[in-house]
Amino acid sequence: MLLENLGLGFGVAFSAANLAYCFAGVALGTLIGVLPGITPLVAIGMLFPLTFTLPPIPSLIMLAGIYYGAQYGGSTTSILVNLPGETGAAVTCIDGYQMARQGRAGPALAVAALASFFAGCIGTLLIALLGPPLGEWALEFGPWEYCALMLMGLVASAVLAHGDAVKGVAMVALGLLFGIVGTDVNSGWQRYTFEVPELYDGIGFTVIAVGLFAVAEIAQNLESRSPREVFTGKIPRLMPSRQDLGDSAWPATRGTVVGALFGVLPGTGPALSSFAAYMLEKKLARDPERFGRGAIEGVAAPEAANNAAAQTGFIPTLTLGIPGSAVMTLMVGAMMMHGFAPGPNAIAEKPELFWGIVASMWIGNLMLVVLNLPLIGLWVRLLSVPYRWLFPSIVMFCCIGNYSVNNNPVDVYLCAALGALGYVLAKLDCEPAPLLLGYVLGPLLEEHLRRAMILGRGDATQFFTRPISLAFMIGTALVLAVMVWPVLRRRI
Amino acid sequence: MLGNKDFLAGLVFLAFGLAAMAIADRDYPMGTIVHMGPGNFPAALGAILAFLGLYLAARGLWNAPPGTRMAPVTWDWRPVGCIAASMLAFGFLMPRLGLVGALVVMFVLAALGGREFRWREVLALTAVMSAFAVGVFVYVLKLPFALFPGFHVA
Repeated sequence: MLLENLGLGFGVAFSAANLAYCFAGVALGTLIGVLPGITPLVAIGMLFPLTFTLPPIPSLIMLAGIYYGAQYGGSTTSILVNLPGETGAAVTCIDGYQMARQGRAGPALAVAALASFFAGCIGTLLIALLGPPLGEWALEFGPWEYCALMLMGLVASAVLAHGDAVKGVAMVALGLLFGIVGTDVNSGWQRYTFEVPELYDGIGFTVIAVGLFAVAEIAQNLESRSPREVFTGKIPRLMPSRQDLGDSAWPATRGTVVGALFGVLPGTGPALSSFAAYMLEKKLARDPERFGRGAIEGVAAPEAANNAAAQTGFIPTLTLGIPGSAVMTLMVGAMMMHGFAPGPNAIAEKPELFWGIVASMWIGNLMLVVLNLPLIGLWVRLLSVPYRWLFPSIVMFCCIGNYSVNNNPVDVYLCAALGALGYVLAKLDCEPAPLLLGYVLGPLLEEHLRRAMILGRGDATQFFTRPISLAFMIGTALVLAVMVWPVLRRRI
Repeated sequence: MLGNKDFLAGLVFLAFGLAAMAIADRDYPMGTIVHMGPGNFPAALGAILAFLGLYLAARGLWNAPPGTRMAPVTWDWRPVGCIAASMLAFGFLMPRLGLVGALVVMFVLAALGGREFRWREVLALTAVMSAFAVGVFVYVLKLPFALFPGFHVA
């Protein structure tokens, strides 16, 4: 069964055209992701309008390629520039950058790529193994279970995102409100559209994602005055020695396990997993003081965890339709734009799409290794591109991307406004990721809540009497307890 | 007060929450608990948002006296203003001047938000990136953009 399904997937992904799209995605993703000051989120956000014109399967395959490429580009910048592309790669900076300073940038980059590839293989296998049964299980979900699960994911993303949990919850609520803008599917009412016809279909997904992540981030980057130290020296030796490989084998394996576990939890995602994997290695090491001074384990473990979590994050995303992290939210938004609504029915209804994506993820991972190891020299040279050339070019991609969705200037205006709002919120220490998650889940949550109320005749106790729903509710309560606990402890 | 991050964030959330509640209450039917109307969910969200905003603002004021834990926020409106202006200009000029004209204005305005502005460099960058955009978006991806007023690629 599994082999048959994977066979179907590889059959789809191995067509010459799809391989070419996968390659183009990986190459572009790495190219953009490696540019300094461009996080994987921004890279995906600005590149995915490129995939609009393609049919669904190639475009999703290319998107997966962009995703892995951007992810890998992010770890390259954290090793060479000490500039984590995203929170997930922050831990890699600690030892990766030290290795680069000791002239071991080559082995660090190679080990990062190999550990990522290893974790990616395991992760892909896990999706193939766990996806279908989880999808079948989720078919039994009623609106109560969906509401409870979404609530748990939203609260977790708010509390576990770094920064203040109260602000995180507020950002989720704001995101849910943004998601509601447009025509209400149940009643046909125009909500918060202010008689602007362009808003009748809701605020566009690209508008929110690009505005909050790309535009707001450029504005922040332009005002930070700290010069960064860029490692632009020659990379003398690329391949890691036999000892390097031996030293990283077990950390990479353990990192994969840690990452795979964290990846399936909604709201946690790669950031927490790479940190957990790093701490685990430090605990297990015979001489923990090496960590922070260029220990290769400190690169292998978090990079493996990061990628495994990125991969297993697709499990809840594809089978339940509930994304666990900001990047996943982008992927779901893009899938929905192509008419593929991830969820329990997706596997049965569109098997070639589901398995094609799974297979192309593995191919994307493989291409990363093939593409990146020989090209590292080129990526390094890209690091010296000055930001004053980069940022107007990113703005250009944002403008054209938003304009091309509906051929309408209003989307560009909205994106500029949301960028300004995102800048203000970011300056006030409010993370944008929970808002994006709320925005995507807003209409879904309302829909399921309404259904639960109609089916239960206004009785809300079923949220707590149905076992699966109750389990998610307890999970939500536990996450909330994590948030309230430090406050209580301070009082006592 | 204007440097207090919690207080300001609270005000922003409070404003959005109150506005959402007021509009939902004025314009959309609430329905019943069994059949939730279009105003029900947004009004509840607005209330939650307003409450969280109030809490944050209060917390900001509470912590504000000399023992402040947070560094005050400093604003620099030029970068964000220039970027937003460049995007607004792009949207406004696309239907009027076509892609090339809109990009030229966009690049100059955006670059004004940077730390240093060198005319020659900005113009060279504009030329290179515009050519790239025309090639990729119009010729390869075949997006239906006019290059110049009234000039479409067939």
